[in-house]
Amino acid sequence: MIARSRALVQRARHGQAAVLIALVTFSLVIFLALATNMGILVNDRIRMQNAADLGAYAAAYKEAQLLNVMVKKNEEILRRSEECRRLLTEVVPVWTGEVCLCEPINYEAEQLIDECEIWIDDAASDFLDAASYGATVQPAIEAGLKTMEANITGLRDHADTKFFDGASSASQNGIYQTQQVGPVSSRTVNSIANYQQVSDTFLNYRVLVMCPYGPAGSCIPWGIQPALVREVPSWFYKDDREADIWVMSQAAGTMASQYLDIAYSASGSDGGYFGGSSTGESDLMYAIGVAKPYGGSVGPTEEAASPTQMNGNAVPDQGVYLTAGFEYPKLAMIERYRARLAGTGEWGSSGTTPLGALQADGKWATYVSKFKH
Amino acid sequence: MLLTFMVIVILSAMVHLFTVTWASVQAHARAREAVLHETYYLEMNGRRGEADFTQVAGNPVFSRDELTYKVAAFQGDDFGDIAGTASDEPFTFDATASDTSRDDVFGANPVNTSATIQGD
Repeated sequence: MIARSRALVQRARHGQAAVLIALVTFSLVIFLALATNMGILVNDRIRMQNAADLGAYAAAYKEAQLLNVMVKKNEEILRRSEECRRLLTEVVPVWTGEVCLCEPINYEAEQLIDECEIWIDDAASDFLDAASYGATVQPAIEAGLKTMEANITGLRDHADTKFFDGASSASQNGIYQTQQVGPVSSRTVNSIANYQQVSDTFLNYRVLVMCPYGPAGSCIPWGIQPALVREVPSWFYKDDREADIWVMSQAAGTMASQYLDIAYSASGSDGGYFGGSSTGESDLMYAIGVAKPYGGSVGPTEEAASPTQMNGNAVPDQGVYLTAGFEYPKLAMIERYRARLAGTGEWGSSGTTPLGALQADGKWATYVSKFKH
Repeated sequence: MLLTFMVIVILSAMVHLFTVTWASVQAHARAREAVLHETYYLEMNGRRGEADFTQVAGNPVFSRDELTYKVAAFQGDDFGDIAGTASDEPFTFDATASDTSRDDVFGANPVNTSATIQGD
């Protein structure tokens, strides 16, 4: 009887052990699964942030690259202007008036200036083509999207993966107007920034005035005088002098696996963990890149001695004859651009805009006015 | 005995998974840094200075001498070279990186990652 009772007790204890083992095993497996899940989450999060970071940098790099192209085209305008000045001052230092009108004019020099104007305007047209919205913003955004896709396949097809285009909207195009004066003013170019064309670059020459003051009304030299000033539209500068071009990327996606994603929603693309919600929205990671002048954050317009001297002349309203031997002050957009990653992080929901993101983060608030797209 | 063994195995597995996760984080960060800053910040930040990474394509976009990003796609004699040329050619900067988990009960598992910056 006693032996039978002991056997029953031992059998009961064996059952307790099995239950205990089952509970402990279940708990450990759950912990193991959570460890696995955490690994997936951490891995996905850093991949998405990397994609957003590298995408923002790629867009900023492309923007800087294209700005450098624009700089070179702007410099071509300057080079042509300088060449015209050289022809008027060095090749023929003093133009001799061939007409006995006592007027400071030489038709050969005037024809040269006309040709220069066309020559310079051709270069200005190249600049405007390079500055157009389609030639600058779109390639930059495409580079950013391509980079994000290269770092995480599938992000690009996600509706919420995007670059913010405009300070208040993700799809607002054409808010950037190129301001122009002079012969190219009839064109409208939506650009990444406001550029203004210098119109008061003066070409001039010295002329040996001929007058009929000689014997019997003959034509004789009557002194060297400056010719009438000719204004020639030339290079471009940024009117607002705000150099930095900001880009903001948003990488959106889901976990690589829905394994143990307790907030997974089949009806949405919800990952439910890093920055998303459990209402079917995407998980979002943001990054901000900036294309900026190499030498600093102020440019591309380098300050001349005064705004009235943006045309490069030493004295406003004076012609080229005063510029012989004069070294031009630094002119518009003579700068080199680079890109840099400016900030990363999470800024709330899919409704976040660059403007909102910058305002939400105090340290960027002062740069809001410089946000371009 | 069995229970103790299971606890040890599962706890070891959890530790191993965390080390794999950490290796992944390290490798991703390393690839990202390699494509953006070469070795500069990797060396600055401690014992992982001799990081295992390879820059596959493109020139580093970061200048160790200037301690800043280089002028974008600009070929010249020096930084800020006025006589240089600008280009809008497509660009690609690629880097790969790897790390391994701890070599304990389950052995060392390699994690290989890559990062790229590209544009047409």
